[in-house]
Amino acid sequence: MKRKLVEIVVAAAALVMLFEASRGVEGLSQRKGRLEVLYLPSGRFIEQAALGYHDLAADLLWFKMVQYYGGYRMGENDLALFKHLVDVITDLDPQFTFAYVFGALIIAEDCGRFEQGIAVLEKGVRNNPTDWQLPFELGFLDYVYARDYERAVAHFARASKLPGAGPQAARFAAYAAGKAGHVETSIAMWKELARTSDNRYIRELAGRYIERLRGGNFPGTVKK
Amino acid sequence: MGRRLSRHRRVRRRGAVLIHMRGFAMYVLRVVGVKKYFRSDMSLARREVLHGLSLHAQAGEVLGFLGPNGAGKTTTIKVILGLIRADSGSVTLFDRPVGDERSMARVGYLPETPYFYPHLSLGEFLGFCGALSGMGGAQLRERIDAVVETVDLSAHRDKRLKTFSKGMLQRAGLAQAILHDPDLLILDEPFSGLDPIGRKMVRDVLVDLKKRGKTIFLSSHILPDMESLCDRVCIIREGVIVKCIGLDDLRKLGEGRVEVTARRWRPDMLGGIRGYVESKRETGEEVFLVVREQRFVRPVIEHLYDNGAEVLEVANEHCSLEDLFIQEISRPGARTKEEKKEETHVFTGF
Amino acid sequence: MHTIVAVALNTFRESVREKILAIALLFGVILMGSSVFLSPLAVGAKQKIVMDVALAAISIIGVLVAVLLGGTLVHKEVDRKAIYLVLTRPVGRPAYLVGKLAGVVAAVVLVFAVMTGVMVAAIALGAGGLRPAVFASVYLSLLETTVLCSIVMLFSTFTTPVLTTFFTLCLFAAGSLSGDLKVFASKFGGAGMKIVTELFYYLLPNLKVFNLRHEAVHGLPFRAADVLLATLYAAVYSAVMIYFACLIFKRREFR
Repeated sequence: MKRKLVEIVVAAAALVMLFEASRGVEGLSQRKGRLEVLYLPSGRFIEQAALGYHDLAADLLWFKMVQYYGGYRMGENDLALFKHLVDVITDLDPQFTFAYVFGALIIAEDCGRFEQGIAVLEKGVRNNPTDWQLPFELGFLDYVYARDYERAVAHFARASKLPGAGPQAARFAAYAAGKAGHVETSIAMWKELARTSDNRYIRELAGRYIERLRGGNFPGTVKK
Repeated sequence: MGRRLSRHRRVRRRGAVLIHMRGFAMYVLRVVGVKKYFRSDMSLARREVLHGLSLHAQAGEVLGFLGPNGAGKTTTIKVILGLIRADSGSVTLFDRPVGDERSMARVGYLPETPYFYPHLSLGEFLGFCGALSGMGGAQLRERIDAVVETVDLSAHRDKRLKTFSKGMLQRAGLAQAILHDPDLLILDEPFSGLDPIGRKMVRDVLVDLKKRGKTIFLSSHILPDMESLCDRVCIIREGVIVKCIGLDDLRKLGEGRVEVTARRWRPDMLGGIRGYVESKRETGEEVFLVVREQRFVRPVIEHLYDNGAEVLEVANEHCSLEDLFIQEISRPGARTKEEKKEETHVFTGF
Repeated sequence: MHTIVAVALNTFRESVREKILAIALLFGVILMGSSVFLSPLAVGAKQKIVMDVALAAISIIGVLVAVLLGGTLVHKEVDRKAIYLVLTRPVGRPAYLVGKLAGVVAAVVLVFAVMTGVMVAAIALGAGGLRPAVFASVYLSLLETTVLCSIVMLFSTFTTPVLTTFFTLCLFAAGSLSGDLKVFASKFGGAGMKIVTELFYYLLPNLKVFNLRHEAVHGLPFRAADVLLATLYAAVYSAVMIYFACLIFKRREFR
């Protein structure tokens, strides 16, 4: 009887010790977790290591990228490695359209690197010539950030002619061609984007942008 | 002696062939001069396990196979069945070289300590064995029923083999061995793991098979059973057959001698009957005498009574299988030292 | 012929009743199920992720089942002396091996059938995208698993289960790597080295031809002729593996 009691007490103490130990190393593991993204090797290497499961690997990295961005929004990092993640993901799965779209948008907006965003989308167009979303996004970025209306119209028009194009493409081509004061047009475009996207980050982004435009404040936009 | 016989003298029945050649029964199993080397894993040294082993079994006989552990019994059986290839010599079953499918169809084998397929039920297991032997359909089902009944496992037909005890597995093993009604049964320790009732069952099965003219090759350590079942016995020792003898001849070996057991013996009593007695064994007050000849029994008994001893038992001696076995095994090395050195040599090249 | 069927049926029964099969299946189902649950985290890539996980799960589970089941098959029978009962009956050793492979592949087909059912459900829940390419991808994964089973069979005729598993997984990894291996080898070493590495490369199973997952997920076109070619390749490769397995097994002794 006594021995059983002793066993129970020791077992409980062992469990407590285990919990405390795990809690103690939690800080270390968090730090290591942040460094993980730093050490992400090139897409080429991961492609080899993925042993034929490229798309799955791209998905796993997509999760990581989303978490990384979420961390940025909470002030944990400065998105320094975001583009690298986008590059690796799109290397692993060149048909991962949404990765180009989301990635380019964030790179242009949050990282403030418009040209790099464009480059990402152009890579997407090269790999997916018949996907309408990519030239559409190119047009969007050209209009909203670079205010290069001619280029934007050309992209939108091209997008609207590709198979499966959403009606926004033609509509936006019209807006851009009309050049009816870019603020109103831009707000209209952002509203459309928010309406048709099921990605909450994009909706939030659109919301913020509309606020800024209404307030007459355009930080980070590339002046022509 | 040619063994190829003109066709019209062969009588072929389903699964059973009786060939009579000039009055001699055919050899169902013939092993001639078989040698087998094993190479041990780590070294290059070869170990000769069978040194020119020869034996044969005639149709319808029960042949016992005895030997101490490590003598090569299981190896011999595996060579006979084609599980191991002999390095030299020949093995024929039903006059065909080992491995021939037509011969193998007529052979039933029960390995030592069988384990088989734990996830199958007994019925499924026997169905599988039957299918492999070319049986099928209703005939197979009936046969399975009959065989399961014979080995007394009817109640367990649908239970998985992994729930079987050692004795039950042994019975299942016997069931699969007799399932396809083979003409030659090769049994390796068929009595192992069985209680007395089980052993009786196996004995009954074997007696019945013998009556039906089947040939049985039986390897076992249970000498009393061997003695009662076998027609002939071969003793193997260190890879050779050292003795092959019919049980009748064995019994005759001890003929003429008489065993006398007496009580209240004193060593000084021996003096008067020394010439009549071949051997004696004393345990305290009791003595066990072997009298040389029948005609000396009376004087020996009279001498014992005269001196105050009491005769308990008088019996004709016969040589038992155990006696023969121990005699053969405890003789000095079957092969000379030189012969032994010869076969453990290092394999030096191609 | 009927002995092959008997052995195959027996192997199938034994395999299906092995716990490992149930565990692998459960693992696959959980994997697919979890992808549906976790898809909200995907932030826009839900459909792709559910399908990626489903197709990858089917493929991976196939590999696992082939390696785990097949590796112990022959070895266990030898261990239990069950093989003596088979080989002392009028069954040729080649027939035995072919029957064993057929039985394992049958068990694999069963696993695939169940997992495909779960996949269809998962994709339906995960907002669609079911196309012919998806089923073609599953079929090719089945072919891939069959090739692996034949490799496992070859190794299991002469080595232990652990080594069988190890070698097969190595071959799986080597066969899945892109042709960079070949390119890499050709850049280094002289002409002799090049020939040797090319020979070695062609001996390895080319598993990329069985990978239609990318096309299935993204709705890209695929050619029926490619599927047919892959089927032929699988048949030839497996047949050759079995042939060598028979050669080795014929010589094997059972001490």
